Amino acid sequence: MEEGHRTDEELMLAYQRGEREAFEDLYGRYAKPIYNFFRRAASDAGAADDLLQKTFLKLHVARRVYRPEGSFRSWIFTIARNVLRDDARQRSRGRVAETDEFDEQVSTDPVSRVRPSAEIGLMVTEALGTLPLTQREVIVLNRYHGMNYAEIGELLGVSENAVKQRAFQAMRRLRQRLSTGEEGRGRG
Amino acid sequence: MSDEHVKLCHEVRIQLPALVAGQLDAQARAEIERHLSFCPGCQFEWQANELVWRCLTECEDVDPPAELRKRVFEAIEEHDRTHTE
Repeated sequence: MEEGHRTDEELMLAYQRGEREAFEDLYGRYAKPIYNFFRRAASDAGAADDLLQKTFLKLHVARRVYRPEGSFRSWIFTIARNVLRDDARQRSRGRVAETDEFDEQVSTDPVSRVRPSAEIGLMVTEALGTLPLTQREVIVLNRYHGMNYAEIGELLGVSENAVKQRAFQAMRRLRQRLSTGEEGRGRG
Repeated sequence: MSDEHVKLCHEVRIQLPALVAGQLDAQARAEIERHLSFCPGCQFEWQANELVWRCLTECEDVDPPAELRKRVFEAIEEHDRTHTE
């Protein structure tokens, strides 16, 4: 994650002082992981562009209150997760009451239609899209962003044991999805 | 199969995602592996979890669209323009 000799936290502090290049460096480091977080964790992977934009805009706005007390990485993922939850709430408004299952709709990932060669990957992306957000974010943060259960628990504000339970439920559901080959079409 | 064995299997199966994700400490891992060595049902469940975990690897990272960078920086400039006192 390091670029040159400055840490993420040093770059953010530099941006806080008005150094625009520091923000560009942070974008260079985090655009890809955050973008892929949204591709997998959002129920509509096609929304990743907008969600990434919102995340960096919020980061920009929050620069004045930034304090390097924890890791920058945790901070930006917390912002991204809040953006994701706001988006999910907006999508669910007027549809069904928000519950753990509120975003269980079928993924309509446009990527799946343009990358036919990566069939398993697409099935996985679609299967991930059918998980409730609370389960999906555990799998995505653990599998793709290298966070352990304790770190995820801290980020989500739940116990490590709760993370373990969510991982269990998520894996069970993913297994059902992948073994039936439904690729997210309809509920299994 | 005794009720106790069923209960043990349930406890083991809850831990399997953590096992394949490398999230268990050495002692917990050893206990699960000991159970797997004599329980074919849980061994099957473990293999299924391994397979799903490997499938997740197929969902590779992609680069964000190049034009997105421009959009992000334009959105920030627009925000600053409209929020300047």
